[in-house]
Amino acid sequence: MSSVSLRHVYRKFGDVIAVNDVNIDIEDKEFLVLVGPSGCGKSTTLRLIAGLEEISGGEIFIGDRIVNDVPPKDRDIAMVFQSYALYPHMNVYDNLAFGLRRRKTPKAEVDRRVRATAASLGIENLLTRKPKQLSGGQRQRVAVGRAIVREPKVFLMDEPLSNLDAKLRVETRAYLIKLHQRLQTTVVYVTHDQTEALTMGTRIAVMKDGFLQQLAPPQEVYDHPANIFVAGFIGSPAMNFFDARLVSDGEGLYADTGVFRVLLPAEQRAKVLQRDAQDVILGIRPEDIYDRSLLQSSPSTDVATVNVEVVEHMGSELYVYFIAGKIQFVARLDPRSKATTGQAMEVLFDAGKIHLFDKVSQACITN
Amino acid sequence: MSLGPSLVSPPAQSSASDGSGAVVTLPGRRFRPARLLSPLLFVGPALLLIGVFVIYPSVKTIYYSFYTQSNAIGYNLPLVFTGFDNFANMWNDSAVRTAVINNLLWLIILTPLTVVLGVLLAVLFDRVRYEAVAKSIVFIPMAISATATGVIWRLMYADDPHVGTINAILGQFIPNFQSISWLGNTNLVNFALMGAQLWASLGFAVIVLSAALKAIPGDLLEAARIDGATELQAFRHVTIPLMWPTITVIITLTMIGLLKIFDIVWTMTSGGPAGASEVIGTRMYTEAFKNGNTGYGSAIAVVLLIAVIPIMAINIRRFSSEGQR
Repeated sequence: MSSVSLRHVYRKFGDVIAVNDVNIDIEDKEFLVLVGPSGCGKSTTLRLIAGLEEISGGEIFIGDRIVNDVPPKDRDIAMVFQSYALYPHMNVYDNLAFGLRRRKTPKAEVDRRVRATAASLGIENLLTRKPKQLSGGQRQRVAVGRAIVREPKVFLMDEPLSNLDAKLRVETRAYLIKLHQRLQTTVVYVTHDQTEALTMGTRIAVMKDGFLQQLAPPQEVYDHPANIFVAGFIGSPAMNFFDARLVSDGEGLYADTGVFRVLLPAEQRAKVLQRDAQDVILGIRPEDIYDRSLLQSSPSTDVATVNVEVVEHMGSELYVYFIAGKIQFVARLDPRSKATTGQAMEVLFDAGKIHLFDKVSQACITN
Repeated sequence: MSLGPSLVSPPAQSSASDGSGAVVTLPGRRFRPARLLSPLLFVGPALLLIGVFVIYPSVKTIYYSFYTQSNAIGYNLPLVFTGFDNFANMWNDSAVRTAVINNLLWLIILTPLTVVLGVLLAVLFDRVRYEAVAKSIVFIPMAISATATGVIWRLMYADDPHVGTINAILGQFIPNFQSISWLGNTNLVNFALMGAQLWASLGFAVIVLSAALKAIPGDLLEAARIDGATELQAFRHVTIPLMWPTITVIITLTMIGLLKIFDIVWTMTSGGPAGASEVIGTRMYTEAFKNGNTGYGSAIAVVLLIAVIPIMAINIRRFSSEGQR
């Protein structure tokens, strides 16, 4: 059990800066998810913590110890690889025992721990099999078993679910969450899947182009994204963005997108008024757009009539894709909605849930 | 066109037996010469070549090994059947004994040396930036014919330091160095020849082993490092076991190659001095084609063939068990 700290960490490959001044304090027993699109530096960051990559600048602490120059074998970490990286010439038992044997654990102790771990993962009947004779899900469990059998300070997981089929992935996700609760160990988990990030992490670190974009609990990242990238990356379907202009009349301050205008709530107005620029980017999540005909009473502002382009039936809800001039956006509507392809309908934008972003810096103004 | 319907339509008796529970004759199991034609066309040319150049000479060699030339002097003399006499004579033939001992020496020294150096160079090359250049240098001898290799190394080993590179180099570093007669010394000649052979054949081992090394996924070694293995332990417990199938192939090929060794020895020393560097191959050639003892030479060849068979058998069994795993 141990904390992990990254202080001004850099990793350069020639001219490419894969990890750029990343600062993360991972607390003891935390489940931290590093998420971002491919090439964002999340895997490199994990490999830096593992010691598989050489750090170009900054410091990495595991517990109180700077581990910059400590080889992987002495960092007391375990890693689950995307490919699982099981030793193909060893059976499951030897795969699990390999790390313990390298640490000169007594034979009886190795046996006890391998069997206990295998039993806890439900793979005790597979101990004599070679990795080739296992299914994808079983291999995944062996890979996890190989990590937990050593009882390391920190678990590193590099997209461990991406080779599983959709159903197994959801099951394994839940199972890893339970495992973390049971083991009470620090976990650093890399994924490109924002759903995994939201469901698994105690905190999420969103990365892009080597930079850390936001580090916060899942709900906060979702509700208060730090910038346009995070807003668009986290959440599915993604947040809608509109070019908007701030205009005021006698009643108050509006954000006008050309398609609709919303009256800014007082709290947001105060933040916006500190700025000079009139042009902003307005973001609104698909679930914050409503079918007006289903609402009992609704204001006359914040409403627009738009054409339905595509309707996707998801069962519990509808994904409705709208088009207004050149602007497209998507809403998650109540399944009772009568949205029909090719027809116009009135939708309401929830003014309280909009996010305004600076056009130049792309940072969120309204947080 | 008349063949068409009989190939396509099911035979009448199979539908007749329906419901009766009687044994059904499977259609298409009857022998049809036409079915043999296309496989024969595919394998035929290869079979023909192998038959003419491998099987026929082998059978003929075995046949000759039971015959001996009559005692008269001259060529094209009639052969006389002498049973196992040729094989029995080998026991008491000191020249053959030397050849066999030398050949064993080649096997015992050069096989492990080729494999160990091959693995070592493959691993070292894998870690340097100029890998391609290094590999090319080791591989170049593969492009040189064995005869040319023999000529090159005869010059390398020459006594005169103005010609012999080895003696020249040693002369540079050792004061009062007396040129060594590498190929003229009965104690050194075998090792000198092995050096030339190693130079000629190591490239192949390095290239093949290097390919095997590259086929090992990098994250397996990373997993081993994280699991607490030192570089040496990762090499021993992960790299070597995963390269092992390839290593056994190299061992087999090297052993077979060394049992058959002929060209290097023949071009450099022809088995000399005083027969000190004879190997089975040169002995066979000398007896069969220089001394005109076709039968005796054939018998030596048969012994060589028998020596190679177990190595190949082990290898073939390994391959088939490898496929089953």
